[in-house]
Amino acid sequence: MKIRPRYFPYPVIATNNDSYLNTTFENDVLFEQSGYNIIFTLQASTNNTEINKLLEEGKVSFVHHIECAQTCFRKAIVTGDGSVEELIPQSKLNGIVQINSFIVARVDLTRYKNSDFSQDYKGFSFSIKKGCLLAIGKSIEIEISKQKDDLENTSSIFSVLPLIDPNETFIKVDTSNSKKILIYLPYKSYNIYRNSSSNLELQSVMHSMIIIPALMQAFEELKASRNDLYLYSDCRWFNSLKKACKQLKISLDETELENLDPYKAAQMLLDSPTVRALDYLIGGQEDED
Amino acid sequence: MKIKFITEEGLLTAKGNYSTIYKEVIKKSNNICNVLNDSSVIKESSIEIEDFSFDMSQEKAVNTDLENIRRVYNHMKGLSESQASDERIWVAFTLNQGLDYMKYRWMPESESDKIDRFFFKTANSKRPLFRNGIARLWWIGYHTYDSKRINPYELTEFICKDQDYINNLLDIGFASNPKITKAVISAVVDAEKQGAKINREVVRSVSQYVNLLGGIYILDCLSYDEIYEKVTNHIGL
Repeated sequence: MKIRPRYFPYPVIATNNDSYLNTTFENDVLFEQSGYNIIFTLQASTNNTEINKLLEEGKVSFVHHIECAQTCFRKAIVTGDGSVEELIPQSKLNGIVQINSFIVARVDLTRYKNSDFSQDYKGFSFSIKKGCLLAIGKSIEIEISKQKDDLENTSSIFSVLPLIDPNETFIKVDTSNSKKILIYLPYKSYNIYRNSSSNLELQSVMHSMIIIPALMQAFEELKASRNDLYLYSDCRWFNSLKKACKQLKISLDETELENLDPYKAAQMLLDSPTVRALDYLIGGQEDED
Repeated sequence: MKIKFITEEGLLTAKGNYSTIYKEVIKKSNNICNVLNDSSVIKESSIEIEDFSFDMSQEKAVNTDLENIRRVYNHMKGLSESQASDERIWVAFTLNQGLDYMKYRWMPESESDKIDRFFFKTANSKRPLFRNGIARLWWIGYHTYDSKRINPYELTEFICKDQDYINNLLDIGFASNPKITKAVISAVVDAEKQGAKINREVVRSVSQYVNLLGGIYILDCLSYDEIYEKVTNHIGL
């Protein structure tokens, strides 16, 4: 559920909304894997005295809406407690899970008013129907990366694949896949790659020739899109790359991407394979001193 | 039989070489393993189901949708939502064991036609579940099968009367929650039984109305009966 900014005919606590003077609505989600289940800890609180009283009376509730669009999973957890645990079988989730938290009327509220209403609403009272929203929290997205994949295990952010058409002679890199960076090799080259990929000694050569340029292309693309990085938020290869970069103290955010040197970053991530490849090609003659 | 799936690598190779897949697999019915020069591209999962075939008996292929939903959902009801949203299972069907059905129901007229019937076009969205030629049969079944009814496929029968009903009642926002979908479709079906005239305009208006409700209420907080009642009142008997 994507919550877009909208107008309400009555005061609602939300970001960029000044219906209330000093009222806040905070929400957060923690999650952990437990066997074949995911345990979500859903937290919400408000500092508004009158709304807290309505919560105690059960007239309004916190509602945490959990949705996984990819598996058509939707569930609303209705609670009066500030923190609640919800266990969801992993078999019901896959990929991005979105959690939105609200305060919702559980009964029709007649003549609802609040001492913290902003000046625009001071002195007014409102009729709020059961199910209507009183507060909208921040939207939280988490990715469920299955450690135990349902069908087979997959790893790495790259996939090296063949181009079957014999007329294809150029290597292609495709970053449009949300899971992996795809590298397509002409068929003959692909077979050479496949036969050599198990040879650890040749790995640095293969990384230099095939993976480094693909990684550079991905970094170049991210640099160009640095103002729209949200477009990559669902992208597994981007999230994995971000984590790996973080370990090298490279932050893939708008500011750092602007000055990022893609060639250097790619080498750092793969631990300078070109230097090792050249050493290997001249017979492993490294300086020992 | 065991449910098959295409390997991740096989799937990406097939997508990256779609032109060859279209010419060799879809048009000429060559085996995808031979076309991709990899005999292990289609694998067996550990999920056991009873063997079944697709109904291809009607002159108009669309008229087999209901029967094929029954066959696919009855045989594969045991899939979890996570498994049923896995593109690899459905592409193994569309390009391998279900290829004859796909050519019967969704034969592309050109290379760029109906690609989304064979693959999942977008990730992290429910859209492809209702677009892929065979995944849609399972997901329509999942959303409309109602074991509480004497005929559990009664809602499916209604929705299959018109492809526009499927688009409006399933391929849109509120369709993520089966409780909501079933309440909405049940209200429409029962209204028709009680004499209301149901057509595309009415179904579209119901769809718009429920989406509008979703802007005001957290629909998932409303009970089945509350949604059913609101839709019934909207249709107006």
